[in-house]
Amino acid sequence: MASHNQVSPITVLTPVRRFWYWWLRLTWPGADRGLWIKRPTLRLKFIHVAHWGLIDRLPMGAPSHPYVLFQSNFDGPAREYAEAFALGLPWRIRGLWAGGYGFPGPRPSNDFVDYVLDHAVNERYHYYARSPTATVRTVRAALELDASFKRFRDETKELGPDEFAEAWQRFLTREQHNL
Amino acid sequence: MSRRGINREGFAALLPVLEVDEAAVRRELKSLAPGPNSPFARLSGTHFARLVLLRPFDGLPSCLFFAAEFDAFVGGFLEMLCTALPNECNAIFGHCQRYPGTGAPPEFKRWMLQHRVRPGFTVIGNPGASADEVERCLRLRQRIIEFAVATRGLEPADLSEKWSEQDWGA
Repeated sequence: MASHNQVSPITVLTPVRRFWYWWLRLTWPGADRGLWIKRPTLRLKFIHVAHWGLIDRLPMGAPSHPYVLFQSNFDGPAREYAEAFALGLPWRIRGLWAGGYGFPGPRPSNDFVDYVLDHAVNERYHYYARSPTATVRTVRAALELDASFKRFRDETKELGPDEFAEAWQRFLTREQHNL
Repeated sequence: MSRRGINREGFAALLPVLEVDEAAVRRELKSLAPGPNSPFARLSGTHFARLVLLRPFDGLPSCLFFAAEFDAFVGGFLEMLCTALPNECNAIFGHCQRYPGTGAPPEFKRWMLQHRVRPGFTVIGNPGASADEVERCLRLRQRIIEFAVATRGLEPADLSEKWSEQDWGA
């Protein structure tokens, strides 16, 4: 699942009770549109892209309960990732998985981590990431730096060496958190 | 086909594998080159893509899980997948039930969409940025760091000269 790259994939399939399927179908549209649910998740700054989806149309021979399919592209090892969710977002974890068979709750976090990892697909992946070593923080820093660097270049076009050197130092100081 | 930044829905599909072909799928996945040589690197605007075989469990047949994040609209991405990677698609998805092949892109698209798992809740770390933009900004950041290190302690005149030698692009 994890590799030497910074960005890793995880795919988790958890069977859920039928009533929970309907609960998620009812609540997700609002939760997905509103930032108040997502903001704390984004604050964790290690999710590139994560999706939760529902599987209800199963192939023949499959059991009658639906599944929550969670798939994410994230930074770092899977265990730490799941643990950060459990510790940082316990209510949101309940809101996503409380109707899952065997869901232990977010605390103690070890039980939740085991629940996630037990249901994670543990097969060999073919995985592609365009920038496999760039963390969410690095990407964000690079995007911010790009805008700031454009302004710096515009502002320093006409400067002589002394003024330019001062402006360069100010730029580096101001942007050190993005470098 | 192009749009601003990553498609927030992405695409994911669970594709039932022909029972006798599990080992073949595993072999095909193993044979795909990793990293920048992955076939998905040839699909412009693709941020992430995964292919993984799910073993039969809970009465479910084994399925190939395919998911990708990209800058295009879903239809455009599937068309590009079908037309840019026909051999890879046929080699991998050809082991799945009712796979129509890449000869008729609309059929390929319809088959993929029939197996789609739509996301209900999505979190995106850097939503507005396209894959090309992210890569360009990462390269620029690296160049700025290297320039700052290389010019540390230089006199203003030397710094200015080094700066003027740089081509930072438009």
